[in-house]
Amino acid sequence: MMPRKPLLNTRQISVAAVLGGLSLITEAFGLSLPGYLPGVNFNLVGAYLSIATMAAGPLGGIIVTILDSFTSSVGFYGLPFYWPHVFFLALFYKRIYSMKSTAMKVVGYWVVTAVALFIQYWGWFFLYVYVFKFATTIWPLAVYNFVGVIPYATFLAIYALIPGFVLVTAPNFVRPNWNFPYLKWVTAASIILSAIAVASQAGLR
Amino acid sequence: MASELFGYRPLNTFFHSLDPRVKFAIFFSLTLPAVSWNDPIYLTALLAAILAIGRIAKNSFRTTGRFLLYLVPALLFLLVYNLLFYESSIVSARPSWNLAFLFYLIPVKFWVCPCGHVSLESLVYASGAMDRIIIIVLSGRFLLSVTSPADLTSLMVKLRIPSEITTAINVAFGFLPVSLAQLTGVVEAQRARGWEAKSKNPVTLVRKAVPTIVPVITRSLTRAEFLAAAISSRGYGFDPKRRTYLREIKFKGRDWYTFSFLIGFILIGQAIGAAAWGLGWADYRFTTLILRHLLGLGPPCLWHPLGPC
Repeated sequence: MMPRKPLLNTRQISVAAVLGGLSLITEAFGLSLPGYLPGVNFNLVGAYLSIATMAAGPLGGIIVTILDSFTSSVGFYGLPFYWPHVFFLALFYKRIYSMKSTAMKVVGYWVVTAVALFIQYWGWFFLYVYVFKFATTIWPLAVYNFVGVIPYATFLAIYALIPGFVLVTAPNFVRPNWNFPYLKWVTAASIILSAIAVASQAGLR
Repeated sequence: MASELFGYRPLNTFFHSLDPRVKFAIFFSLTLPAVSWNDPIYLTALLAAILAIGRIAKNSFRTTGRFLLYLVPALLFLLVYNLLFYESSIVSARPSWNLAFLFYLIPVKFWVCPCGHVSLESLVYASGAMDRIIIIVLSGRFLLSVTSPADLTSLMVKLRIPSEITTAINVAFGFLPVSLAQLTGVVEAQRARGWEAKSKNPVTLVRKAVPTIVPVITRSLTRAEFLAAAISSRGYGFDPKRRTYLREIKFKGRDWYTFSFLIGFILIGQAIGAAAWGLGWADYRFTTLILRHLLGLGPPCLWHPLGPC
């Protein structure tokens, strides 16, 4: 019997481990930006999971989210709600990386991150409404985040500023030498699941 | 080191000695009802159960209380939100009778105020919402306080999670002291240079955090390359599917008993809860009716608050 091909090489494992460990420590020490929701801060996991996804693929990003959830304020419940972002970013990252113009690369990265973050948000609305009951429907949260602009802009800065900087200054580190089977379909499935979850909480109780 | 960060203490209690799968079953059997019920009586009973098992696991009330202090802003938000928006946002779960008015949240006459019509019903609903968040957070806290990082990775191996993921998590746990020293080193060095991340605008805060985050990340990238070389030099990656482990977790007698009890608790608890909800007994309206009876506010029907008497 042939040994199976490793899902991650040693470099990808170590990138995910180091960034995931940093994310865990950052959360544990409360190194986050206050003011998102009462009791919930703007955490910095987005920066770590984006770099891990870029350098180690979706599995790298997922490992960071697992490690972060040990000390995150929402615990293990928040774990799968980062994944649509991870898959969406991974789906377009190879195309962004292969762009020749640095400016286009940066713009492309910010645009993809903005869309990925927008998709990711809806899953979190489901979590806050269905599990934590922060609100009775998703709409107050949607208005607060998207119409209020600042929460979305802050998270976008966290998810795109430093990873974008790494993409430009250390491109070799974040070269996408990874493969993830059925990425297109997995991304689509994660988005559809998020949409179903959030649609279930769109009405009034 | 890793354990200290998320509150694990290596003690010799019944809950510490359980298989990690059973510990997760405890976590789910405590949080699933909390998500599906909204009656404060049921939820308070569940909360009492969590505090009791926490005490058996030698979690002091003082530590738990200190931990709950962090939740105060979230709890206050939940209380005020539910009091303010109960009448406009609760439609299908609204009682069929007239709400029992208690007071206005903002009683002064100003513009559209007095406003924030607080009723007995909204207060009971809000207290259930607060109970729920405490239960969910304390259950997670309990799980991490009795489960070591090694147990968690053993559990992942048992659940057939690919060894690459469990290895990365193991490496991360082993590497935490180094990462911690690196993070504090960078933060202290930047503070010595006069760095301070204070601003009321979150976007400005992100910008101000960059001088600290960038060196932390660039150092991590370098460290990751060295770590990769160290892992490769130890021969990792030959045949990840047939890796062997020094320690493997196994179900013992007490694990089976506890697991069976928990499965029974989840099934019976959910069944009773669902049946009771159908009758309106596990719903917050049931508690409201009891309180209305006690306060002499004359509810329509105590035994079936959702339907006609």
